[in-house]
Amino acid sequence: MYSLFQFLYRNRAFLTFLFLEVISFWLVLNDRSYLGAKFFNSSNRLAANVLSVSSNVSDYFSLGKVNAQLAEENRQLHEMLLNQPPKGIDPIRIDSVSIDSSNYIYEMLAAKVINNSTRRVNNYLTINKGSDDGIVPGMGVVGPQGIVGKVKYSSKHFSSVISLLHTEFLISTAVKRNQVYGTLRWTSGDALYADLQYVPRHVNLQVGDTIVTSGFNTIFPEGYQAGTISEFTISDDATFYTVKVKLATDFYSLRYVYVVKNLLAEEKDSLEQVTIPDYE
Amino acid sequence: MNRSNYISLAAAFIILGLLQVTVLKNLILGNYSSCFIYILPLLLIPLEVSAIALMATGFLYGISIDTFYDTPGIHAASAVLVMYLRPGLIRLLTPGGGYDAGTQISAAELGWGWVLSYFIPLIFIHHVALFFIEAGNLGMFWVTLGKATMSSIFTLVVSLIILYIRMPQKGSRL
Repeated sequence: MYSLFQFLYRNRAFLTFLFLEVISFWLVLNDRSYLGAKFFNSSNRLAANVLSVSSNVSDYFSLGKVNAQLAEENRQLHEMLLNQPPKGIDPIRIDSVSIDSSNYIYEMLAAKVINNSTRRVNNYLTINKGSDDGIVPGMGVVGPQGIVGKVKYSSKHFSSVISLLHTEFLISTAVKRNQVYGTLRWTSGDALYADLQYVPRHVNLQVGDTIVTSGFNTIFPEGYQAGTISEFTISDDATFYTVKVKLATDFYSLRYVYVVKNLLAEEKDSLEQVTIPDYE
Repeated sequence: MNRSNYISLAAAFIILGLLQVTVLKNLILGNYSSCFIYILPLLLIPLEVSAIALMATGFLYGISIDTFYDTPGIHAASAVLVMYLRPGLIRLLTPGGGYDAGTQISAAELGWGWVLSYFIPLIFIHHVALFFIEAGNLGMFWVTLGKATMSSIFTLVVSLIILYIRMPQKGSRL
């Protein structure tokens, strides 16, 4: 027994080293762990406050760009309003007073990006809205130009968001022109492009085709802009196309985002949970 | 090592840590080279501190950096590795007469040659560990190694500049 203690004491440095490395790697591998969710992420109160002070300073350098983005978004919304087909002759239908918000499927919440990375293998954003504002993990996040990511953790006043620029984040999307489904996935490297996977070879693709969210998931609204096809190839023996998609969102200049709350998500998910096992 | 040295070391931890997570986090030269200057105060911890205290400091500091980077464990693992190797390397670099009691890790006391042969391996090991754990596999081996090398050079240069600025000027000492 004595020699055991002596052994432990003699190797105490190495054993401490092993112990700390095991903890570290456990955190690395279990990135959904309770500890990781509770403390070691940027929605942690201290970290988020530091980041939000620093983003308050750097905001002034991007005011021009943010204004241009907002103006562009307003232009699109105006255009949509102008091009809306007349809703028949019934004037009551288009009376704004009669629009009943209880019919809404989606609610949106504007938030400021206080921290954003684009150059790592797996990127995250931090936004300045949290569980006090009704944000829960799993909600989708969209930007003025296109989809952005999905909420991973939220503390009281901040949330940490998995960016679209995350190699394990798969998004069900469709080619807008012919409604062919594919999976959008970023494969590290350039923050402007991602891959569209599993598009079968019989499909007719064109450079410039718009990719939108498919609505198979409950994270994003259906038909939200994701990007456009910038190039595609297929080798003779491949089943699927290799498609490169130019992302709609410019992650370098992202300053404001909207968190999407799908009011029917729970209903849809629980229905699918009940139904799917019946087929197995 | 007196009290004021410890206070300035603590200040270095806080200032360089904040600099890391607010400014340097967003600064990447040529898509490859980032600076992880937060490691400098870890390398400057006085010689007399025990191995276990070194690793504990490395772990706590690394996990704090991780919190801002949203990478639980990655910086902690690399910092602990560096802190584990540190005493061995210092022993290996012992100058002819041995270390005097109270020797500080600085170019003024140990010379630039010593500082370089101490910084280069540790910074390189730290960055290699960091980038490979982040990549999670050896798939893009050369790209990852390239990033680690370029970043090591960046960190090394900034560290040396900080050491140089903080070095007491000849004749100015009273």
